[in-house]
Amino acid sequence: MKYEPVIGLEIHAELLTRSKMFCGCEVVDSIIAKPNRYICPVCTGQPGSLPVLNKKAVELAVRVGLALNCKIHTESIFARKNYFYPDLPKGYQISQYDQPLATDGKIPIETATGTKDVRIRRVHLEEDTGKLSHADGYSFIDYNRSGVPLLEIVTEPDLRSPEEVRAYATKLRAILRYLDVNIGDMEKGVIRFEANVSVREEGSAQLNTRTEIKNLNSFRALAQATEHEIKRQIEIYARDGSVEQETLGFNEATGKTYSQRGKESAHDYRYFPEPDLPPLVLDQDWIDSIRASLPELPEAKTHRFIEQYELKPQEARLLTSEKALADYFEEVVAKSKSSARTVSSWIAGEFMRYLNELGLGSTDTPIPAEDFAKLIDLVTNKKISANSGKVVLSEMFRNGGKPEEIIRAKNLDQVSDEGWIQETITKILDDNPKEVQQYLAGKESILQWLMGQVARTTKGKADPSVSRVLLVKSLEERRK
Amino acid sequence: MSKKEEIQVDEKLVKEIASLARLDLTKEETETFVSQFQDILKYFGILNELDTENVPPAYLSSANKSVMREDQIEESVPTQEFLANTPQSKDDYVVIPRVHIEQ
Amino acid sequence: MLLNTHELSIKATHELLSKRLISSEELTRDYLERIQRIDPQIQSYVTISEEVALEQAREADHRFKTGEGLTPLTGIPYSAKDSISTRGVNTTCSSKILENYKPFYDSTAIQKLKSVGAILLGKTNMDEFGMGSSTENSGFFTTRNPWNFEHVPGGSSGGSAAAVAAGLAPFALGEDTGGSVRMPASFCGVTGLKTTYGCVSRYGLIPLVSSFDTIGPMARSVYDVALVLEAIAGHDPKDSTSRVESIPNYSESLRQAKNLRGLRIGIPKEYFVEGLDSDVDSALREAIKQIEGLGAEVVEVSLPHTQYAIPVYYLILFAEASSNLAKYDGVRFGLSERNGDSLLDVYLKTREAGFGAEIKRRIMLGTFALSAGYYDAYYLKAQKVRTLIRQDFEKALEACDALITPVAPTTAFRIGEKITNPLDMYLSDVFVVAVNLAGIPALSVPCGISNGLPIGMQIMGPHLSEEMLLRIGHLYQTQTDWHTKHPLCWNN
Repeated sequence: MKYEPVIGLEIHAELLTRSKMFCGCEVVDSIIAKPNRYICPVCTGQPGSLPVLNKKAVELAVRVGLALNCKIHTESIFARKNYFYPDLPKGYQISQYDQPLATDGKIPIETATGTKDVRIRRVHLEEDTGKLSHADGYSFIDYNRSGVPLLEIVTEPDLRSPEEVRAYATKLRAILRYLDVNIGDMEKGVIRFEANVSVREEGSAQLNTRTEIKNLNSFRALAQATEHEIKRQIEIYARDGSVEQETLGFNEATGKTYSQRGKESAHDYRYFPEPDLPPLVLDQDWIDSIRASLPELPEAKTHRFIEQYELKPQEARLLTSEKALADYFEEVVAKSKSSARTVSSWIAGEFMRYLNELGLGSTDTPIPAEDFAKLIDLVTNKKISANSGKVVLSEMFRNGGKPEEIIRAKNLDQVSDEGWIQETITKILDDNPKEVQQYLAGKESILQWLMGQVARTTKGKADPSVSRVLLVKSLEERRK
Repeated sequence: MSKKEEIQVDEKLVKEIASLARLDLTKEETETFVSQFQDILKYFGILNELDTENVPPAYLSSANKSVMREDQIEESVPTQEFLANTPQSKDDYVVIPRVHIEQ
Repeated sequence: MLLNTHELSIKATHELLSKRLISSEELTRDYLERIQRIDPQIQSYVTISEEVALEQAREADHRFKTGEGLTPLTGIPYSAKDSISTRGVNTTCSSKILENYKPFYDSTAIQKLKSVGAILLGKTNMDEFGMGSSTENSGFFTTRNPWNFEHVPGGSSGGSAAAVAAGLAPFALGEDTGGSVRMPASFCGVTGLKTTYGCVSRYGLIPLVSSFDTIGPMARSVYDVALVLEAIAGHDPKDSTSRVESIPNYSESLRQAKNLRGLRIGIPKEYFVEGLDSDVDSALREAIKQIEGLGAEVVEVSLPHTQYAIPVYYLILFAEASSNLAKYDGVRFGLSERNGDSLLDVYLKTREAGFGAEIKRRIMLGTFALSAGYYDAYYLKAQKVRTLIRQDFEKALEACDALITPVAPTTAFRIGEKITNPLDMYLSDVFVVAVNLAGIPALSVPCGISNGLPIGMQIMGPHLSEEMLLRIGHLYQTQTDWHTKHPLCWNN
């Protein structure tokens, strides 16, 4: 019996607005802010307080809906989701239920078997809750986060593997960052993923009981949890058992999902339209102007990079993983005389390496495009060796400066002067007769060592391709 | 809802509702509610005399539409003013007995 | 004290203050003293905010001295229903669960009254969270009808009405969700206005039914009501349901009003049926004749869905109230029972101890009406029938400009008479709730007395027609003197 996983993802993304969803309190990083500092009658649910909708939150939501190819509903309504929890000050969350902002979208993802569309069921606006922490038999509530605007994005159960889950999650996060709607930090809880997982016999069209996995703090956890849960459910069906509908957490240490069932497993949220908020009617002109101002999205940009710059799909995808990185790449290409592929390999290689080493984000571009372009060209034109280029780049990262200055200061000009190089080679071969003999005896790998000596002696200045040719020639001459 | 599907109000239903509403009813209260609810719900059944198939619900006909505010920051309320009413607080947090159930 | 200041209208009181014949502080002390003396028999006040009142009085006196910031309400004391948030002053909704709750912010209506220099004497008693029609459901005590202490003052703004009727405040802010200003106004022989939904900001009004709640003034004449309305009406950006239309100068319109020629008054036949007390019936007919005498034309109209108003009203009320009351959980404010083990204990014990029986009943019914499986049959159905009721009013108000009906089928009933059967209590609201379903304004004006208890006439109009309603009521009051009659304790 073969089973196939049937997975849907729910994402909650905090929107990048200055103030909260229904009041003017500032949106802050609640991890570092003093507790209960950014609060007011509205976001602490004081009796008699009333919500007023944040226009920017609506705009950002429309942006996302459009980017996900959804139908934007010109009339949508807010609803109360009623439940008791201490981080929910009103005893209900203002969300959207019937008539959400956007529905019926889709985005393509890359899978092992090619591109496939993941359908988006709905996109809607809601408010975030406060934050709970626990110690010594007590819980502590901070309402700084209460009322922060949230966007909920729900897919149809179109995902069929942990890999697809990860691909979708990565894609969606990139889109949200491209749109400047969310900063994408899963660890900070600014974007939260929940997986709804079920399995069924391959070929069947029915939907079996699903479980909901929450509190996943990284893409890795998301993929691992999904994988574990799929296995767990298949095992249950294999022994004729039944899967219970429940909410699960994931233990990264053990790699297992666990039940979070409390006293109440059934949630009756008793949704009804929020009487304190009139219906949201969107002007078509406004929607159109938002659509017109959408940036080029990752998918389109990737395709364009492949076409325009003749990059391999993998390269293109890496460069477009962050909008800032893609923009930087294009800036450098524009300012450089080297080929786009060359620029691409520099960025994908050394540039990314230093970013990681120095703990910078991939949107940090500490080196002006102009200077980087110059450096790349210097290497392409063999003014300095590739190795020297790396040294210059490192210096530019750590201490800034222009490439020509650094080359001068460190004396890194690459010399292609054959005469000078030949002199150096002759001396090295003279000084290392044993190695010469080893090479002539057939140990070709010794060439590498000899090349290293040339580089060392010339302080990296000798053009390696010229050095190699001369070295081999010189060695062969000694055969006689 | 047809007349056949008349809701049967029994103790089980009343207890379920009380749990959802976080109300701890006494035995007497539960019994009283069972009988009162049956009468009240029966009375509300009068609404089924009306055909509302093509009638929109009233919450869509608000005088106002799309009331929104600009995304501007306004001054928050001082923490101590908020906490002055709080039954239990510590280090600027609102304190409650430890929560065990994840939402 | 040279004269009985409590006998004066707002306008006359203001003249006294302007002429400096009495200071605002002296006037305020007069009222405070009167409250101390008389209110123990009536129990209209829950909290008397003496310190705040005197401070505001001194501030008003400063205005009179400098001549700056003077308005028709400067120096005029008032009371506010205890569901209206007043910063630093207890706001209890007459519930044990908020017994010591002091909001850290003012409702917009109170802020507006502060800014014009009016003076808050205190907060008045109500049915707990507005749930009731007699003030017998108060979590603290029952207010007495000043006309007969064995009878209810009406509800839920019973304290506000009683305070005005007994001369314990020149005006009061009440709140009307399903007759809660009009019923007590009618039972206590004062004038009360249910405003158009959204006319007065709800920001700071502790909600019962967010879709229906309105704040409205109560006073001893239509003219006084108009003066208060001018100060509190208007758009509030903090309330998304607040109307954006500009407010007319109500009192100016009353000063200009001469007669009602050209006005058509509709009498809905469904409101004059069996069950209507014969004295109420004759008082209304007499009042309608008076209004005809002022030049108005009377026509019969029909509001065919009237009989469905009660179930529609209560279903929506139960549902929204159950949601609005979820925030009373002992976590952030209010009563908190902390001697249990868990958070669930805090919730359960706090709500058990804090809520009265009627509250629990309504929360239960509301939770039920919204539950999965029952939502369509109850809540959604009610909202659809509500549309039919609104359409009734729209149609009727095409054939006429205003409607006149009784406020209640009887005069004030005895304390304890209806409290045992909730359904009976709900049914007594038959004439008032439809107005809240449609969101239209309605004015309650005294128009008779039966066995020593007042009778009220209800005048309804289209959305934002307060100016017309006040004009009708004001001109009626120039021809009649029901509104000048007072209960015995008035002379104490």
